[in-house]
Amino acid sequence: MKLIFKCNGWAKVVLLLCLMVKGMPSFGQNEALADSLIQVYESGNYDPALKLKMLSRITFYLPDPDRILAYSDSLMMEAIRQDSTKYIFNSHLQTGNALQQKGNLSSALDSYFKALEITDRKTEKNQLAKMYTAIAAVYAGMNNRENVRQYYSDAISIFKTEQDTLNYAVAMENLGDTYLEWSKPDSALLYFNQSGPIFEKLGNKIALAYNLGNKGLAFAQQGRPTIAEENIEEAISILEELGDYRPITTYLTYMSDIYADKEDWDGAFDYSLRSLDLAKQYGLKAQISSAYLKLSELYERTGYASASLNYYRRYIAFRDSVINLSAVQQMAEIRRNSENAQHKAELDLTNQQKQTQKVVTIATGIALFLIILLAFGLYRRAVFMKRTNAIIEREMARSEGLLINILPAETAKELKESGKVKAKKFESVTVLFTDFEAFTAHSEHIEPELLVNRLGYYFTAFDDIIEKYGLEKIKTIGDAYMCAGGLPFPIENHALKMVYAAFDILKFVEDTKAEKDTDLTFNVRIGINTGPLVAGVVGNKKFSYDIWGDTVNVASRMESLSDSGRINISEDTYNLVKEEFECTYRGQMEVKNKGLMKMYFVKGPLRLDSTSNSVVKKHTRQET
Amino acid sequence: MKNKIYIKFFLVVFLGLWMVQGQAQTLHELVLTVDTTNPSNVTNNSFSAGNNTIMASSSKNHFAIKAEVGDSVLWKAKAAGESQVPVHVVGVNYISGPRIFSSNTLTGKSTVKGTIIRGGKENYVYKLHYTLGSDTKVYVVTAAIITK
Repeated sequence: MKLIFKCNGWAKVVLLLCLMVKGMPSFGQNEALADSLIQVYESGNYDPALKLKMLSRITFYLPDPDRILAYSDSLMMEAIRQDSTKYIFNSHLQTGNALQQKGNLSSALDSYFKALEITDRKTEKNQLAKMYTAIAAVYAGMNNRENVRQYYSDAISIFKTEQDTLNYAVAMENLGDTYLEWSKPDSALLYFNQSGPIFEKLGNKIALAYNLGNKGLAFAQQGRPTIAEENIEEAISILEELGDYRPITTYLTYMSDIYADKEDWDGAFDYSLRSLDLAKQYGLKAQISSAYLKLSELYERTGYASASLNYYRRYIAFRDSVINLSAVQQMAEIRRNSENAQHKAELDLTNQQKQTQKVVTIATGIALFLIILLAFGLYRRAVFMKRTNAIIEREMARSEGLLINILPAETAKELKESGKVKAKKFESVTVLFTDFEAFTAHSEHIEPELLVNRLGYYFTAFDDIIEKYGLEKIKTIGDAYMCAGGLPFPIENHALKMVYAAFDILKFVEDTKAEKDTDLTFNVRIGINTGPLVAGVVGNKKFSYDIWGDTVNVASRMESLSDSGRINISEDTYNLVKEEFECTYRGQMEVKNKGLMKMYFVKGPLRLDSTSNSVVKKHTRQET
Repeated sequence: MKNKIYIKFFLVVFLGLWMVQGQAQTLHELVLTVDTTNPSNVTNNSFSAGNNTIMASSSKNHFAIKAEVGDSVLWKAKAAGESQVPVHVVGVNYISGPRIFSSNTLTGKSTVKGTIIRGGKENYVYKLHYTLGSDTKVYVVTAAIITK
């Protein structure tokens, strides 16, 4: 118990420093090799390209911290000059190692963090883990347990992942030391028993020596001095062989504890004094301080207060020169907090960026999708509208065509614009009726389709003739064909045009009869009358432009009272065409509801040079 | 138990600080001057000590110094006169009195150093062993340290 109690003191901290200070690189100390390299370096007889490598090796192999610092400075200057991040890192690392070895923990930590700053956390994981190990060792010196455990755990985890056996074992060893410091020898031995066989397998003597020494300390804490001494003596023996005196001083101090525990004061003093001499010989401040404290304790325990006080004062003096603990702790905390805050901030920033990027990506995706959807919709709508408009326009054109076919153009226009057509009275309009003779008789013996087709054939020709003279077809009623001239716009020579048209109709009918391949032919009667009438469209379905009045009725009577192949006109018409056509007076004939009316057959134009063309030309001019 | 030990330790330390403030551990550097022409005759030898050492007796046969527990003693040797023969102190052997050093035998190659770990009422009497040059013959001189 006493031993454990004493182990928790300064000596223990120093011990841990000894074992952890340089982390993995410390195992590489080789003064002879370092001196050889220094000799070559100082001579200048080497390839300049190897300068950085050589300096780095020197700082790696040198055991003396002061010399390490000197060459580390040279390494740093050259590395900066050559802009070599790798060797700037090495310089910081070796400087940290040397400073820690000298007990200057604050500066050592500063150097380690500088090295850590230039370590790429993604690609240089091994390097990162080494830095964690070194930093953990400094925190151990500051008794910052939380940081010690954290940094070692991180380092072990990385080394295991990277399958770096040696460094993995070293980190385990150092974590075991931490447990040793916490007076948990059982846990410490668990780690030592894992790391020891690895060192042995790797043939790493110095690491094995540390392992043996640490085991010895753990056994001592367990109250097993004999096996503890055996292990420590074996460790000291190997370390002396290797010339690594720093840990020897610590082990010697610890051996002193073991002997003091047995109240073997000679042995206790002997080991402490050996430790002090060795520490003084190699300028190991922390170990000197530790030895002074140990001697102070021994003198106190053996009843020499004055001597104890003297050694304690020396211990205090060295402790203060070694380290300003409060400042270091503060700096360490600031460093740790700063690093944690920085890591957290970086992590938060990264997460935030990822989150933002994710949101932006999703939003962009959605927006893009909506835009595409909208564009597609608009495109579809445009195509649809275009097609619809085309259809509408086509249908409208068709409808308009149909309407124009049904109605006079002006009437159709009026109907379209206002939705209705006002009935108009025309003072002078010539109305023509045709009728096929014996049509009903024919229709009983002929196929209706053939009959209708034949009727269509005639009426189509009539339509052409009517259009030719600028007259207006009104309608067909069965086999009767009705048209008018002088509407919807009044014209001067509508009666003449109508008569000419009548002659054309007759001629067409006669010509048709003359066609040899035509079986179904008709004779036609034509009646014409001129007078006032009313024209317009009635109803809102199946529009039909129609005319009403006595003039129409009389025209119909003229037709019914006409003869086959003749044009029968009323007196009113006669008065309008008599200057142009030769007419035969037929006398007064009874007309239903009108009484006796004078009628004339039109025989033909009076003058031979008078043709329908002049009437047509006149019509064209009027339209123009 | 641990706390009691701590309290006792620090009480002693601070009382000590109050009582012996300014007192420091001393390194006593003792130099044996040897007549290399007749080294067997120890009466020709003489001891000297540094300024911070109190001489209890400078007699050639009973050379003694006063020292405190915690002090260190460094024994050196040199040739008398103009002789250039190196004299090596190779050991200090306990003869009688309190065992003020951690070992009955302190050894060295040219000098010997010891730290006083305990005191006593009697004088610590010891034999100082020395050699001359490369000669392996060991010569002995007796001296004492008084620790009270």
